[in-house]
Amino acid sequence: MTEQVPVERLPDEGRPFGGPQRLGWLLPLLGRVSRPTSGNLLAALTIAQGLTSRYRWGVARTWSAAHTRSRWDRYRLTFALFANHGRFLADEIRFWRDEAEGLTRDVTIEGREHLDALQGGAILLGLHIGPPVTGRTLAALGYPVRTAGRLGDAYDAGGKTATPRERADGLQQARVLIRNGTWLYMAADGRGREAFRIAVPGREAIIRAGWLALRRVTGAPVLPVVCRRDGVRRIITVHAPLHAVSPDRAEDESRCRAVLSALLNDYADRFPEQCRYVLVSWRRDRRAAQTRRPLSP
Amino acid sequence: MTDPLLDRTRAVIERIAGRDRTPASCGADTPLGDGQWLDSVELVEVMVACETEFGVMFDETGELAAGAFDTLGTLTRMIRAKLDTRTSS
Repeated sequence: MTEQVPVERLPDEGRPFGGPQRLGWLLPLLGRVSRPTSGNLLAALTIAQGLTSRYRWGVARTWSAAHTRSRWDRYRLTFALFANHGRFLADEIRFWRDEAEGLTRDVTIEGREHLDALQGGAILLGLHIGPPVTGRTLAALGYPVRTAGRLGDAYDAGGKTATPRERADGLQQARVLIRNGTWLYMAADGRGREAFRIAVPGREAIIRAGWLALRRVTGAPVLPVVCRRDGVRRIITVHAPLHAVSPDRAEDESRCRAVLSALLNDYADRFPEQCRYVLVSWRRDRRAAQTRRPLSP
Repeated sequence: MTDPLLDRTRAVIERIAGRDRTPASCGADTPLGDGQWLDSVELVEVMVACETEFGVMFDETGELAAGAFDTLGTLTRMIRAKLDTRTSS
């Protein structure tokens, strides 16, 4: 399969580097060493960061306490969480420039039949768990996938936060792509307005409203997609599509929440050391909540 | 003098944003997407609702970012222009 629609580039694809902007300087360095070495380098960095950041240490310890029993296991999980965060960052940086061969090496897809059954546009819904660049990997494997990753972040140049209009423009581009048959990979727990939260022992997850809005306005099927690391292999699991959009918005969101909650809690039970969303700060959300107040009548 | 199209556009927005989040005295100059009235998701929902309400299509070339959704007035002008184009063609 080849990409079907050469519509204008999504914001994410216009960036010189798609990973965390403050780590862009590592790109030349990590390109010179092997993948395991680059992963170990970043793992050492993120462990050091975890040990020196009260915030990261706190959330990781709370998470570990909720997913282990013995004191030793708690320490082991805390360090594994930090180390995997580094390895995933290294992958994100390395794979940004890698060709299809590098992206698709050591990859297994489970639930491929759900992709093969798709007709027309769709939303592949990821979460910040497990190895990154899942959308780009699927595209490298030949599926008609575009990554919407950080809709609006492309406008964040120089630390300026994207305006609602700029973010809406990103959503509109995504809508057009889906309408034209593209499978759009986007994260449910990225940035933007909060839709609902999922209770997970140790740390709840914030699910955003962007994908729900795209689902409503396009009627496209939504397939949750998660990825995990097993040794050097990346295993991408494609789940069955969510139910069709229901006219009752509250009921619709409630059903979506139930499916995502079961999926995320199952993942957290089995692979708690790969749940990188745990280390994400919500400071940006608190700032956004402070700047957007209800209008006075 | 009231503008019926502007009133209809305002009604569409009010339906999306909710009455309690709609300024009591909003007019053509009221900003839409400055983060106080509509957020990004609501802007897209307004766009889709306007397509349904007025039978127009918003094209793919960044009308949102280009200023059509700056204020209630600019959005109304955009819809009017699309309706005029449709009538004349």
